[in-house]
Amino acid sequence: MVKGLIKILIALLCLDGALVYSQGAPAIKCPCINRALQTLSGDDRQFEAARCQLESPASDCHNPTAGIKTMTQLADNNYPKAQYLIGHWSMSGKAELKVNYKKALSLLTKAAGQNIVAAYHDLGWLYETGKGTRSDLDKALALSTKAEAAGDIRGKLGLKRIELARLKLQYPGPKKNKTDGL
Amino acid sequence: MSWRLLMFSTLGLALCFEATAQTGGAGLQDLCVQLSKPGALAPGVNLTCGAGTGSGGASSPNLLLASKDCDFLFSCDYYQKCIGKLVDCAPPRTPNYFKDYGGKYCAKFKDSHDHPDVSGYSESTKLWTRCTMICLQRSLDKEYHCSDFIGHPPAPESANDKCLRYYNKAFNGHPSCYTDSGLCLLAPPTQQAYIATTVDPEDLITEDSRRQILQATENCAFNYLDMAYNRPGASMTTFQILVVDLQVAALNLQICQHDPRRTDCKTEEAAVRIYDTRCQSAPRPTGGWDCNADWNEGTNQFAP
Repeated sequence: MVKGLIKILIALLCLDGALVYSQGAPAIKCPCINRALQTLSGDDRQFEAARCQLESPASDCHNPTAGIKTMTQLADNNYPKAQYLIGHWSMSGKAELKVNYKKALSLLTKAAGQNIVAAYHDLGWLYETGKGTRSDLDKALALSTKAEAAGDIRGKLGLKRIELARLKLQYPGPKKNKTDGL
Repeated sequence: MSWRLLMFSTLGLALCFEATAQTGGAGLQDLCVQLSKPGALAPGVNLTCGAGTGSGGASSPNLLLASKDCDFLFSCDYYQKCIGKLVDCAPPRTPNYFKDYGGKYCAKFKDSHDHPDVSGYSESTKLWTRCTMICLQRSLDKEYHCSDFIGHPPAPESANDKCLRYYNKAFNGHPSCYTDSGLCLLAPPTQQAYIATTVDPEDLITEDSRRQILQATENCAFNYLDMAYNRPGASMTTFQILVVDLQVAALNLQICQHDPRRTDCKTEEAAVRIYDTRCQSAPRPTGGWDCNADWNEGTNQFAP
């Protein structure tokens, strides 16, 4: 019972994350937020605090609803890392967000425009598969190439997938079984 | 045979990672954790449903869970003796998901579960089977409660339409049940291949089956991406890099197999085997966020 009340209290504290902590609230078991508060400021601080709230359920600062709310606000305020994360989660329906490819496309485009490397691959995937937009293998190729060049190893995967997609367009016939061992 | 395995090995290749329990579907994952404890659900043991099952039945008002006719949850009898009785899909109504797909595959998977010496199922795959069974049944259960018990949809529905609705609902629920139950956790591609061989080829090639497999693949790919990038602070480990290498090798194999100019794909096939072996023997990450990792301003990536 007491433990439950403590958890509720912690959740309420985390709801207001950075603000509450900065006003000298008693320290709780949330080193993740504490570290963000001590080392960061402004949007960076809010972003880190929201990350902490989206952390593993085992953590005392876990509060995904508040975390997503903050993250969404940051994305709306053109904060690129949040745009990437909300965009990515909108692709996969994770972190309590529903799948929304158009939203993903919009946010990832903004994040990529601000040089968030991880966004290149995701955006490329949307163009590759035609989710939230018309399929455009040329754009997908450009984005995957950019991702790979920037050191995102998923770019390699994107390039291979596009190669396969193009091959299928070029040779639309049934696939030949050239191996029988796998 | 090779087509089937290729599809599932591709699926498997996307899965060689440690999807942790903390992402989405935590309730089900928690349930799976409980069930994974020794003796929690021994093969052949039928748990009774209703209050106190620990499956959520006690707290959620659910007609099927409360029905005496439905003490079959976690057993394959659920399909024909429970939901199949309440929703009449007997001929000439088609399709009959309960009989032709749900019940049929529940029995097949359960048989594979109970005879791992024949099926090759690992303990993890057996656990996956149990969790998937529960998930699929509960998704149908929920549909019954929502759409029939409380009188939705408002428009009158023919028996045929109702059967079709259940069929679609069931199929749409498959991918998330597969992946939420930990399909991505199984050792790829071998265990996924064992699962694939449980499914009849004629069923595997239907449009609905293809769709669910593709969706499951997509889910797993996203789970993989979660591990690598989606969860801030998570950095690419040696294991994940191996996974990408394995995926690239698998794509190279597919590219070769689709290219009529190529006469054989032995090199690509060998590469897949090599990376698969490396991947399976590599230490797997324990999961969870690394809060010590910072955003790398230089590369604009979440990296240590």
